[in-house]
Amino acid sequence: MSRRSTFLLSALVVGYAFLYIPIALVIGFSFNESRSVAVWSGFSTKWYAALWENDALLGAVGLSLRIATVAATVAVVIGTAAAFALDRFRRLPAKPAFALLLATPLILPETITGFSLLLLFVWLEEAVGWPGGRGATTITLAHVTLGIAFATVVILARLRQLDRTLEAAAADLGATGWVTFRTVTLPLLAPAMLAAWLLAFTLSLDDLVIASFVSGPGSSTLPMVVFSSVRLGVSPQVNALATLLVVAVTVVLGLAAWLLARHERRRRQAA
Amino acid sequence: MTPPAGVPAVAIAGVAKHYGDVRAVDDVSLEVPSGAFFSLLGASGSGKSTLLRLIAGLEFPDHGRILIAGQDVTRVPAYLRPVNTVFQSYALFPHLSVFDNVAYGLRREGLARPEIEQRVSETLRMVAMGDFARRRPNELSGGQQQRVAICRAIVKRPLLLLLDEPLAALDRRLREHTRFELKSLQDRLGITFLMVTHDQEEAMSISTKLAVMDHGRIVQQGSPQEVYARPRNRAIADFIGDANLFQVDVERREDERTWVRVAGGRRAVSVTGTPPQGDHATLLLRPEEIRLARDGSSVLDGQVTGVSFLGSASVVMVRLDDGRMAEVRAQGPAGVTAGDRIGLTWATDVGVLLEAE
Repeated sequence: MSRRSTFLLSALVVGYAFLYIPIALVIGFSFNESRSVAVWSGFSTKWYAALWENDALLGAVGLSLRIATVAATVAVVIGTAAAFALDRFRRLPAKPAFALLLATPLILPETITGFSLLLLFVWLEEAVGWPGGRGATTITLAHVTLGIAFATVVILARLRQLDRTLEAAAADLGATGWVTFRTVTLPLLAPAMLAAWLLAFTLSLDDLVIASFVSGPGSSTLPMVVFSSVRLGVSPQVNALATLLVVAVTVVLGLAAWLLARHERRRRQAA
Repeated sequence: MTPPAGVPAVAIAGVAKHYGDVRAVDDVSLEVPSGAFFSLLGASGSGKSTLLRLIAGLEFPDHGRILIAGQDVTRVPAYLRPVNTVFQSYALFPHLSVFDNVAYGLRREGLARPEIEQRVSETLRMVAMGDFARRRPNELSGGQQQRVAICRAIVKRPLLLLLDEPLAALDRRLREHTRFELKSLQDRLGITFLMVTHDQEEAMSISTKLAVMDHGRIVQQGSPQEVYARPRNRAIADFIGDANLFQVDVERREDERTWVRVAGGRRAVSVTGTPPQGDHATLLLRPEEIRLARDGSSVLDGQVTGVSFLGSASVVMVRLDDGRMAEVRAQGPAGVTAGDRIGLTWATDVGVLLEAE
């Protein structure tokens, strides 16, 4: 083996080791007999059984998934509309300013976002009586806010690349504005919208800081439950849950790759 | 669906389109006869593509009226006009198969499925694309994509087919071949074709009529033969075909001809038609109108600087004694080589007089 390829191989190993040793450790210790994360005392699946009984943790998973689904969907719908306005609104004054304002939530520290949203919800409750208290609704609204900025940026990038001649061609062939949107623009935008949805979904599922600000009693998301349980001492149940999430993510990614490959193969065969 | 006899396929009256201060189309009036293969010829930025978009309904004019088959469509949106377009980039829908691309327009008409299938297959077969119905546009070559784009437009049986530089994206050999295919397709379909192009050879070879555009205006229109033989000004003469332009002094005017003396020329020559005002003019001679003369009958003299033999003809470049270049096109071998002294002459009454420089 040449010196060059030895170097490349070591770079590869070190890089992936950085990425995956922590995850491998979590998965490994989820099958540990003992409570300790330091000592291996034999193989066991008892933490998975315990997890199945842990209603608090499972409830948090359910809540997080529900919030993430709703928040991502609403963020993509509003984000798509916003992207269209920024791309197509020809006489929009101060367009660059709008683009800049769009980027701000992306770089604003989460603590500030969380705090400002908390302030808004408290003030709204005083002023109009809605939302009553803080809980799943306020977390969802906060995650929609966060998701819109990301979704708009992703969808806008694709929309700007879209060949406007395709829409002209549709009109030329007899399609009204709405039919053109439904049959040409939307299908071409769909991959970007899916990417935006997944991004918003992940951000919501992942968020601890903002959720902590705007949540109320009885509505703890998964990151909140995990974080607070770790403070009281690590339970291998969290390892088990993390392992299941890693497996779920791997399966979803693998399935997506397989479907894409099959789609591609079928198209080639058809041709 | 064909318009009544005598009604032009398109009639444009005083149409103007401005973008800010730019007059893309400036007071254009034009009639495209039904059944014609009409070309809008012009350099890029001459407004020809904008005019096409105005006819398609993709843009609306600031002034003027547009009639298609006698119907005023000035304010009618694109999706209601009996016009279809072949776009320069083809604009095939990348997410749809060839079949679905061609069927797109028919589905918008709400036709029954069997009729759609029959018409799409029939049209694809017409351009030899029947075996490609299930492919995606990105799996086709440029020439195949172009044929699908044409199919998608003609399957709707429009009154008028607009073609925006339909051959520009093809390589040279394919372009020349496709030119004749377009022409024969138009003969078979009987649809009026309106093509935009910057390629004068393309426009000359397939059009029954053409209009030359410059700076948003139509500067001349007529049959290719008319425009070639009688260009209205130097710019058009230069643009349409190769041109030799000589400065001349007007010596004598008769009823039907004018005697002029070419700068540096040995004798006066006659030109039919009346010259522009004034004592000076420009004489246009096409390369094939000039003959090489070795017997002293020449009008101009010079030295051969290069000969290219093209098979059926030869092109001879001559540096005249006053330093200007002239191009002569002779049938078959020219019989001269670079360095030879040579005279140039031409038949009586040949050439066109244009405004002086």
